[in-house]
Amino acid sequence: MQRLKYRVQKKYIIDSSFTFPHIPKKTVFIELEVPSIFKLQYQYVEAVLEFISKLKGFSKRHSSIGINILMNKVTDIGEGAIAMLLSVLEEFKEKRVLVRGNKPENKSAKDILEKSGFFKYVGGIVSDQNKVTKNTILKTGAKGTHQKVLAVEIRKAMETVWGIYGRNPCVYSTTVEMMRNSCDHAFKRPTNIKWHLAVTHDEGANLVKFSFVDNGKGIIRTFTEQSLLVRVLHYFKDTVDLLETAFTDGIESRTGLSWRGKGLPTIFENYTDGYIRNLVVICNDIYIDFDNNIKVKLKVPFNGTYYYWIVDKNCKKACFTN
Amino acid sequence: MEPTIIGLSIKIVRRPVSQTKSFVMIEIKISNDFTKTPGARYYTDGPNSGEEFYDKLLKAKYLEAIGKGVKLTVDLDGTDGYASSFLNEAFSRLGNEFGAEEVNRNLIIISNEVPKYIKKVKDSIYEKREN
Repeated sequence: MQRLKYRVQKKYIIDSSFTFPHIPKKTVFIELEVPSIFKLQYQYVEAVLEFISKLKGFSKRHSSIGINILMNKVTDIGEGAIAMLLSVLEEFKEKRVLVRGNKPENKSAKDILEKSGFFKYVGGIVSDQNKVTKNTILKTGAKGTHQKVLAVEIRKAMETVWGIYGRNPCVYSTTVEMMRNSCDHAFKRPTNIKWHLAVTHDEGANLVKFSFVDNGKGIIRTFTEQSLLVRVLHYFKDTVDLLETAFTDGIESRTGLSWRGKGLPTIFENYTDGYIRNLVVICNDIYIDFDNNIKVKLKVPFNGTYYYWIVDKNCKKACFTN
Repeated sequence: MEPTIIGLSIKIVRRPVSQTKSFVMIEIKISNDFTKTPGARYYTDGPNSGEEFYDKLLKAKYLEAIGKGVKLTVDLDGTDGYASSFLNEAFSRLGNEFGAEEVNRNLIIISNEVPKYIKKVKDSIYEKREN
């Protein structure tokens, strides 16, 4: 695993790609180096989560100390990791934590970052060739974020995959379930509800990648905090088993508990029905990659929930225009 | 033998739908009558929730259909999709308030785009709510 490096940088940095909020002069920056492969695939995930965990450790505002996020050595980057980083930075923005950072020197990684929609939220210059893109990152600031915005993005995705700007009810329901779950499992107070959804188009491959992340408590922590479920935890081998059972709609049959939550089973059903592919879930200390049958506990937990999936021409076609 | 051509004059009389009970139909097409972008379970979850759908449309149309002695047709097609909680909240309320068997008899669900929604609706009708 790549070791994270951070050090206090005493000089005032002028060359930066993004900054927020207004940085006072003579701010001392703590440098935090982003892993060179900044992706959430299993082989790289722990380095990324370690970085995210370290970054979250700086969530308290200090008037003269800022964080400098160094991305210049990043050579490979994924939109899911970008959305995860953004979700932390958005929290920092609210707390007025002083942040600045730079872009990858690697052109391919820089292009992915610029096209992702990241700079819509953190400010910074996007080169002209990367300004025209269907990629975006949606976020909610409150639970009232209207589904219409999501519906438009899904129609654009169907245009990339099937060549038709149309509805896909199963992709829509998958995403609404995740948004809904972030309300149930993510945050103590409804006003704190925050999620980010990155939608990344690969028009050449007729493929769209979706990455959804919230920075809440995570499904497992919510489950284990529910007194009812705590009493039946012994029905499960471990929390990996618990989470997998929740997706496969087995909580009720396994425990005898009346279990009303159908959000996770609906997501899983849309996956097994073939409307979405490559479903990956990271939740607390659990990593599940359903396609590759990877179900493991991570050494570094993620306080929140992350989902990744794709829609491409290998998926069951559902695209309605009327 | 040459056929004989007889001139016929047919007058087509269209009876108003309201005069023929068999033609009376109460229908909700959610995409036209409620929203194209359904939300989640409760009002507190945001706009266009299952609870809102039940309160503002489903309950009233069901009562109207029962009052006229006809079935209520709910057409799920044409929207961007449904969260399970939307369907569950709306139809479990209906089943619990008016009786699952009766609701099942008086409801026609159309879902050609995503047929599995029909089972979700039926399951919700029979779900026992705690409140």
